[in-house]
Amino acid sequence: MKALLKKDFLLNQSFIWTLLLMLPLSYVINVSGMPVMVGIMLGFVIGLFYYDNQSGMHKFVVSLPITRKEVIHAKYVYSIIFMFLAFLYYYFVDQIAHMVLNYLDHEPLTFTSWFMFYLITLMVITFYIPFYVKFTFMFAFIFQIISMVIGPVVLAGFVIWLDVKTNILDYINSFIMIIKNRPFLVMIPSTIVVIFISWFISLRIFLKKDLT
Amino acid sequence: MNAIELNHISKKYKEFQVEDVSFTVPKGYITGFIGPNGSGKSTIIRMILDAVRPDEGDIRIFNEPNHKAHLREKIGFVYDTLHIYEDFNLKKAKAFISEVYPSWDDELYQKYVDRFELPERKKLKKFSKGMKMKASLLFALSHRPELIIMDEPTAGLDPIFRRELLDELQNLMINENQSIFFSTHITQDLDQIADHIVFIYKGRLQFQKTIDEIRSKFFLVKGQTNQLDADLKKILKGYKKTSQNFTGLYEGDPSIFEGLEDEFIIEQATLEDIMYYTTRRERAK
Repeated sequence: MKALLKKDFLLNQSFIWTLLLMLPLSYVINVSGMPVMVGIMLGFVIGLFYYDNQSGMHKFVVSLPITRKEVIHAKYVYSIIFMFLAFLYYYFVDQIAHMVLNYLDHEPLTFTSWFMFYLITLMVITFYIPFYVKFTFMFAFIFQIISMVIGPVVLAGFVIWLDVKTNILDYINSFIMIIKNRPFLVMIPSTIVVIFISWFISLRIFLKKDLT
Repeated sequence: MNAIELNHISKKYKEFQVEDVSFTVPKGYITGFIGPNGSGKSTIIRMILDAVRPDEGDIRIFNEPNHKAHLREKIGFVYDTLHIYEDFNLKKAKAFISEVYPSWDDELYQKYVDRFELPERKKLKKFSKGMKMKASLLFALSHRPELIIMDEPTAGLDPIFRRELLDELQNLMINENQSIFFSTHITQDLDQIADHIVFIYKGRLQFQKTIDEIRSKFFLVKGQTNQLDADLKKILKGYKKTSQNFTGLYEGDPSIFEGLEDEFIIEQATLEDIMYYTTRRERAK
């Protein structure tokens, strides 16, 4: 698995440079790092599969003494580690920027908001991984883009429609209150469950998949 | 002992199927895997590598089920092109490939880099087709595999490098006693180096024979078209005729043509002849 992590790291080098440069730059021009991190999150999932797809790398990887389980494990482990390091960098840049740049008009990150953002990012990333494992890269890519753009609108519409019949918004508000009151208690197990389900589905798909 | 064994392999796709294919790749020999384009060679190779799962049958490598990942430590695989990210150079590619092979030999890697004259810092996308093949071979050989599987390695190569590659394979056989399974539709590549031939057509095994068996059993029969009677058509595996002459492929003891030297010309058939006449639509039924 170490070799696969190394491969993904090598493939992502230009992406890492972009993150290292873009994030401080966004603070210099008085823009919060959040939009940059959302962009990084989007690009990360795509990049995780784009390079493999472009080079037919999976054909090569299956000829190596690596199990299919390891291929999937590596994708998840790499996602968790990479995003953690990226968020750690985000936190430090944010703290330093608020110490050095006195013209910033947004609040510095609190540890809780930073950690919640990291967990939500992990959930979003791992939500999309099974789609890239199951379908062609192009299909999964289009699905991701469409669902990220239209998804929130459709979901909001659905919730409003449902609220007329079931007052679901009251339940959602109470759920949000629970998260606000006990963020770690709710979000950490939720993230673990989402990652586990995503990993389990990806594994099931990949173990049976014909790699042509 | 066999390096590879396929037992009654079947795989069905919408427009193509591999049907009940069984053959073996003996250890310590070069086995050529021939068949026209689209006959199922790559599908079978992918099944051997466990990239594609057969619907029926089982595949064994060195007498173990082929899905065991550790078996691939003993295999060097060469595709028709290099499936490594093209922005990598050899150094970056080696950085992760060498990690997965416990038997990776850095000295051997460097020896092949020098012998193939490959630039280590040049991006792979700037490599020529021949250089990519050499790089593919470099990574396949640097962990001292016992079995080398090659899928159309000579397709698209210029004749000089093709010859060099074949010489290299022969050297490997002489020096390292490796087993080589080599798929190609360019049968001339195998005429000189293969010990065994597996011939597949439309997803079905046509035959598996040693090269000596092929040389002693397959002949071209040439004569005038008016000599091509029903009896002759019956014993030919395939034939081609013009208004004047015919050429057909005969499998069997050539002594049946003894005494008929004035009427027919009997010649040794090449692998290409065998493939051509066997797969020809206008073949004798």
